[in-house]
Amino acid sequence: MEKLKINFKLNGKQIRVECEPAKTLLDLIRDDLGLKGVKRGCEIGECGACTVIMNGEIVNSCMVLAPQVEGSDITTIEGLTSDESLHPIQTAFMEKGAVQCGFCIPGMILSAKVLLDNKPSPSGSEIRTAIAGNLCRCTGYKQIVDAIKYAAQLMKNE
Amino acid sequence: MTEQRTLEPEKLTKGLATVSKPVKRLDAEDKVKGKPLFADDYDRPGILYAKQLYSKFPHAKIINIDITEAQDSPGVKGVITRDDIPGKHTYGNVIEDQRALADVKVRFLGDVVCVVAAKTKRQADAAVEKVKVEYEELPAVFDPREALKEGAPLLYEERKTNAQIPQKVRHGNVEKGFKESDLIIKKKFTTPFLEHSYIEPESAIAFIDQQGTIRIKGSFQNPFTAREVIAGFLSMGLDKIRVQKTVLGGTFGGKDELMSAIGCRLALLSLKTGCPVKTTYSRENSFLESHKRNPFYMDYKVGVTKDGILKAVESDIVVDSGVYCSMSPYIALRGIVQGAGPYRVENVCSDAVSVYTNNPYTGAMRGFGSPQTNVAIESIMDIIAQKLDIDPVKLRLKNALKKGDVAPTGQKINHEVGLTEALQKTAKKIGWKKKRKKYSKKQTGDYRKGVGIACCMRGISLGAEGVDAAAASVSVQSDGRVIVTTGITDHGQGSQTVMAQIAADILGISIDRITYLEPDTSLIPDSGPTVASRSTFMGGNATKDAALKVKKRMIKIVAELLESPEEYVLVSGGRFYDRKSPDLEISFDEAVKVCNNKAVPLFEYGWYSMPAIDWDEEKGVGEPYFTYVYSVNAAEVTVDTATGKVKVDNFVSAHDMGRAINPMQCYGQMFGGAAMGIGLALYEEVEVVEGVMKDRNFDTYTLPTACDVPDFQGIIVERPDPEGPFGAKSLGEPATEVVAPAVLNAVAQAIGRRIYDLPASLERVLLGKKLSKYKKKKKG
Repeated sequence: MEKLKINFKLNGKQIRVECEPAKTLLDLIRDDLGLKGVKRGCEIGECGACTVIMNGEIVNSCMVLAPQVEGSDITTIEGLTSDESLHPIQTAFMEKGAVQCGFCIPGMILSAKVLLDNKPSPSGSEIRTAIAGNLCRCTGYKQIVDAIKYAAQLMKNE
Repeated sequence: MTEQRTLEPEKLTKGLATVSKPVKRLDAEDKVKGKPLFADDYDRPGILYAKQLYSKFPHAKIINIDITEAQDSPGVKGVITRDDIPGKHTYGNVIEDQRALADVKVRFLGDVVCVVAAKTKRQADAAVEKVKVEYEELPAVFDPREALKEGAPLLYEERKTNAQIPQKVRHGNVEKGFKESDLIIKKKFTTPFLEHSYIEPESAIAFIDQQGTIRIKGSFQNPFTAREVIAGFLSMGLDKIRVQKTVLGGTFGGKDELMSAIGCRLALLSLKTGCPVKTTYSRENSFLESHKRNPFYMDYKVGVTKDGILKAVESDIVVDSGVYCSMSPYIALRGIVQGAGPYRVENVCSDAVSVYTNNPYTGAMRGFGSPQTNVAIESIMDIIAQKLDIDPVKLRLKNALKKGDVAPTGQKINHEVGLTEALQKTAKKIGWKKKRKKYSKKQTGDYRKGVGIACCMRGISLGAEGVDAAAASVSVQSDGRVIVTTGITDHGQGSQTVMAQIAADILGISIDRITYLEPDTSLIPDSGPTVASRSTFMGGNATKDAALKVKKRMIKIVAELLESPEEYVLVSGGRFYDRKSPDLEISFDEAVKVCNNKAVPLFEYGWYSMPAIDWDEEKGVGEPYFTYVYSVNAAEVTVDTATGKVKVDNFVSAHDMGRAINPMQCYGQMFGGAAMGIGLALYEEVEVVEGVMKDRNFDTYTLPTACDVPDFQGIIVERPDPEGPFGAKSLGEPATEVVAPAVLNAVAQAIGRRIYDLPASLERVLLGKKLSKYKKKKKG
């Protein structure tokens, strides 16, 4: 199959790849570019485990074809901070007990980031709506919601 | 072996640095960074991808399997069928009926007939389609009640019946109990197939290492079980098979038998091809092939005096086991053992039988039979409350077990029981009195509100379900850092952190000195499966045993050094000291050095086996579990009577768990369990029509989202168990098993009508019946 050349920004770095036109962004990031923090859960855009940030918005990377990201800016969990330091959302998730198995967590944290970037003091129901596309079977969401509230505070104090 | 029995019950948590504290998870930082490698994240050079071919019929004879075309397909390196199995064809914990590769028959649409391994996933997908299978279709049976009848199609002809191993509970005399009753309630309840819905699908990779050992890494909940199955399948020694679980993205009882089958197939393909072989399931295939929560068909009859004293409970339960037995007989047993509630009931007569059908097979799922029976008994408690005009909380308090009482199985309760406290605290927290009264007045408008409560007891660990023992090792390194391993797997619940807390407090050091290693079947003794809410209790006790042995040895050396009597030497805060003259001290690190210089080994194995239980399966009497957790849940709901939508506004989850080793993680279990229970009550059902699974992904199988669950509240009740590590019992399953009846009781108050068949979906709430999304095939 003929391959397409794609240019985009991944976690702040300009990337140039060749890939099959039907490849999903999920497969491109996980299989070709080796960033395993993006998880494969349902492949129909329901579970949110493959969430990434595309041009400041949340997308399910299983629902985006790789060629669609031409010229885009993509952030994955690996690019949340530029070094090994923790983002306040990550600190909050650790401290509030929001993590159990951890499979949904990268997507959950990215959804929280887009929410807090746009809305620094969200209400409980705004938080719940923002993560409604990220399924978690372990936590019952409460400690995640609490963590996002706490992260909002931490980010304000920064 | 008797050593652990005589251990002084700790002065519990006084002065402890980490136990009873909300310690951060050991793996939290890696997980928030997205770093842990789950099974699908592993790769190896020269890897092949496996793809399985499923049965075309719910029940058919396999006449012929032709693999020639598939073998010649591009990229294909290996194909396996029933003809390639070097060892045992069957496996199973209770009845050996399960097959990694179908043999003479296929019995459901998730049976695997053939597996191919090819260089790319796409090549494997294409090749598997080229396998030609000739079938002869057989009559099938899809309703377990039909399957019990004379003349029903048999799944295993040699068994001569579809019934598995009938289970019973007998206590007192129910005839007498019903005669003494002023009110008798008879009701039927049903629950559907449910999917575990771990967000990480099944995945594994197999390869052969330089020593010729078959290594299998993957999402194994029970690596020891898998190893045994794989060794049998390949006819190889247990020492030649090494199963390593990777970081698990949830399991809830689900990554068990199917993972064993996947392990068998990958190992065989790896042997055949000499290459590493990997598979990761699509969600659709995960639904199709994995086991489900058992549907229960329950007939209940309960007798009570006019004062609300329970006199008799009779139940007759048919359990759909699907095509394989899995753990179904024990699920049935757990269901009836706990199915008369946490009450003083003098007369109980319960029967349950799991039955083969051509449906997907069913087995362990968080709760293990009790979420189903709790729906029945706890709904009936509310019916009784209404008929006798007694407040539901008061009715439960009247009958609630206390220390010294006799449980419904005839077991004398010799331990402390926190049930009454949990009932009172839960009622208070949800605002029971006021709300119950308010919502019992006539409500108008589309939105109606209700509040409901339910309670249960849960036998901890395996009990009558099997032999129960666990191992741990504690190894103090020369720099004072410590490696802890147990045979217990962490599925996400946080058992690593709990084990580390226990070891840290016994050794008197801070938890950040501890590294926890996940089990590898070649490096730690078989510790049984990580099921039955047994991790903290069994693994925790084994860890405690190992840490105590190391500590004892260190204390002996320190006592000589300080010239203090051994019994005076204590350790905490990273130092050993003489409690009579605290100035006499030596740091933990110094003590380690001294031990090393004296060639004193600071490595120990710990072992713990469950206290004796006494259950007579034939007679249905005895002590099925040695102790119990007591749980109370309460829910407040709003029902939109125009659409049938139920919204849970408030939810309180309270548990007497003995001791909360890590309260933050305990709340995590409670809230996660509550969400899963809300799914069971209101949303979830895998619809299976004539053996065809209709819901195979999260588009039609709807899990609760963050918007569907309330801001949960949790209550920790602690009645330390003398046998538990620091008094701890368990929590994983109690957190799920009594959620649904609390929600259903609240719904019943809101709409003045009760729902007996789960889930309480929109149409059941609105119309009182189920509307199938799917049409049945016309017969004939």
